[in-house]
Amino acid sequence: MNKSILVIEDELITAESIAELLRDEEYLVSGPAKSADEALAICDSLQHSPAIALCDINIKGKVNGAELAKQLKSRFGCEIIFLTAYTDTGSLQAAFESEPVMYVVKPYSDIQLLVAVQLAFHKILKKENNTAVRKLDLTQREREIAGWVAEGLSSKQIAAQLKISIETVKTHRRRMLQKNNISNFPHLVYLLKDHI
Amino acid sequence: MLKRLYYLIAGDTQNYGFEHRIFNLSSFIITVFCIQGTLINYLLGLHIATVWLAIGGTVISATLFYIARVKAMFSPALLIVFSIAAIVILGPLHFFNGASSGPTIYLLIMMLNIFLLIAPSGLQVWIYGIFGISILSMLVLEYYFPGWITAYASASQRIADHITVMIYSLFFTMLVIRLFRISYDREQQTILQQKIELEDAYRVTTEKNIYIESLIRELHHRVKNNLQVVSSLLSLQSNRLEDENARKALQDGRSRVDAMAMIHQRLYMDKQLASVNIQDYIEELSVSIAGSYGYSPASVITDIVISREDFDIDRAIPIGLIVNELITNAFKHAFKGITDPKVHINLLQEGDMLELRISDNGTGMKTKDSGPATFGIKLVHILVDQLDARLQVLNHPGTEYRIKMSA
Repeated sequence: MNKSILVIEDELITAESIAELLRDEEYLVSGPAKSADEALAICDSLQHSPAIALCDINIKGKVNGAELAKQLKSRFGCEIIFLTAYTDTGSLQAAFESEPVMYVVKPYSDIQLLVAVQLAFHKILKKENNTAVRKLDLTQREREIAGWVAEGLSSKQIAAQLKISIETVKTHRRRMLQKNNISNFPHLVYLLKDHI
Repeated sequence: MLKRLYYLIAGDTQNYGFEHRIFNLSSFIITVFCIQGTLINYLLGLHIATVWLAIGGTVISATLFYIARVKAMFSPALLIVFSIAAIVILGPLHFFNGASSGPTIYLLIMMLNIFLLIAPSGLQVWIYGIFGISILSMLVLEYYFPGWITAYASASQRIADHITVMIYSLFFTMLVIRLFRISYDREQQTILQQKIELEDAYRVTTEKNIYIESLIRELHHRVKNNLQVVSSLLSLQSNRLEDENARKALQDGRSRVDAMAMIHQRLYMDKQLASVNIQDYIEELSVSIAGSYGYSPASVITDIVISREDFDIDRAIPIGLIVNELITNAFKHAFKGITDPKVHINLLQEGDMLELRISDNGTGMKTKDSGPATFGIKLVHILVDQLDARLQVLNHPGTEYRIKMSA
């Protein structure tokens, strides 16, 4: 079961660029939601509520991101990643009440965002007790690629790093999951780290 | 020492209002006067009724002092009771002390003055009425019933009585007026002080506002400059690219940045710091885009009929970017072989709805969703969502985009 990542961001061009980055990494993305109302409506409409909410603090509507995150956590069990330009103590305190996995400050880099998403999935795996040590079946090349993914590099960046095409990287990544019967890449990274 | 005595008798400033304190003081001093009167009347061997009246006055004013000072109660009713009691005691005393040749009326006038000072304004007429009518009645009764009058035994007795009462009532009137004056001066001083403080605060706030305003202007200026730098970077880089598609992509990016920079420029140049005049902005933007594709300013016709032309920046930027995408599209793709190319930009208000229409008389969209145009159109869709608006596309045969949003 591959749960989605809900993007909550009222600047839709930014939201689109986040969504595109995540989709490129084969994550399932829902949203974007501009306001708390929209976010809750999306959660209600989905069959599986989102696993992770990527949440801006300053959003449209009366309920701010920090307040929304608390609701998403308690009602839908979402793990929270804040993505915001605010670094003042008041915002931080309000935000940390929902025990976020990560507080990413804008302007963010793709690596920061992808690492945060991976950590959030790791937290979920730990919670689900899905941590049985397994032997992973990986070739040397695949292990190398998985290592880069664990560092937060996107497929595009890995392709550039290894001087191969992006499609090749994606194929490698898909095969790793299939071979080891794992649903998403953060899980694989999690198991890989366990082995090391 | 005197001050401490005053506070001891009248009460402290925290628990007792000014008028209340004067009432306390008056009832105390009148009690003392009544005791003194009782003793003197008795010792001088005046009519025994004067001794009893003085005792009555002592009891009443002592009781009032107890209620007001010890029980800390002060009300208009108390003032009326005191006034009536004064008349009930002093009225008969008037006749026993030589009537109008005696000093009783001085006492009544003294009490009238003090009560007028401390009474609430609505009550003043009543107090004045009670005392005025009583004094007049006493004089009238004196005229018609001369037999009621007990004359002084001697001239020296009469003068002694006058002197005692005169000293007493002059002193007390002076004291109360003096206390009033001090209180008034103090209040004036406070008001003056507060006025100076308020003026200071106002001046500081105004200066701060001007400073904040200049900071905001400075901020918009810097944002605009930074966007300008980004635009120039894109331009410089695109000049060095061989690949035509890559060059075009950078140029597109540059024109988007320019559209945003233009808004920030307006924000620091106009009077309004958080909104822009949408008509001026759209005209400037569209003429600049027309120019960059080699079309004359006359090829863009803007018609804007709305009730409020000042648009908040949150709304002006998406609208600016939409206009940028759509008319860029028109100049790029629509006018091949068209002799008199025109782009119409209309922004109309109908009730509480706002409609942005961008249409051209070009060749229309032949190749839907083809290649490089799609990102621009995707952007338009995102921006339409951003505005909570709805998009409608018409072909006839030029292209017309209608974007409806709430005003």
